Amino acid sequence: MENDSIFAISRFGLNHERLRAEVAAHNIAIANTARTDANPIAALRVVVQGAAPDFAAMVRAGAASPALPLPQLAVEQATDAVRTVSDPSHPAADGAGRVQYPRVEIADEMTTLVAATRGYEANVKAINTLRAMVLKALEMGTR
Amino acid sequence: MSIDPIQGGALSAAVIPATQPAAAAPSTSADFAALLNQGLERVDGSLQQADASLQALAAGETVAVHDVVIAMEQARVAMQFAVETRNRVVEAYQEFMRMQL
Repeated sequence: MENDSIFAISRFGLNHERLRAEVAAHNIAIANTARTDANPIAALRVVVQGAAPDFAAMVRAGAASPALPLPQLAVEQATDAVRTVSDPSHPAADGAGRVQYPRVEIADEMTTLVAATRGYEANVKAINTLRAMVLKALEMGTR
Repeated sequence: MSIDPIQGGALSAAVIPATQPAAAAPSTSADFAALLNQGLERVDGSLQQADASLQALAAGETVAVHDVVIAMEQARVAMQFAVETRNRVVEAYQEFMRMQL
């Protein structure tokens, strides 16, 4: 694998973890915001699109393997996750006195935050390790 | 003269293998110089890219911090590689010049 693909793999991991943390922060922020017709707020989810890289073919090809195509990250709205609360005095209540909120589990989002942080640190560690390997290779033949 | 075609044949047979490495040597040395130039251009390109992304981050544009740091690290690795290549080439040249003639 060429040196650029080393950084490309971990860069994808960093983007993914950061997007997960941002989506979790967004969901925590809108947890108690009522949905109205004009503003249908929904919880977000990170979705990975595209084909998964064929790692077996890459390993078989060895040093001549091309740069692997990384999947695309997308954020989609979870419009079906809704919880209703009966509150007739709320200005956004519908005819039956129910108010809709996006269904957000705060515990799940906090866990996602911690997991995304640890994943981010793990990706940084991977980059550091691979970079140290490349720099070590340059020391061959000096001492 | 009757010897000429044989001489011509022998000369041509002797010249052909001699010109082939002579033709090969300048092409490989030109390739190596081109290789060095390509490497230097790549180092320069990566340094410029790192500088541009750093400027974008300083100006407040939405650039992910890890992208900037990765660009800087790639530039540093490329620079180290170029420095090591220069060290090896200079060392080989010095070893060559130290030979007693």
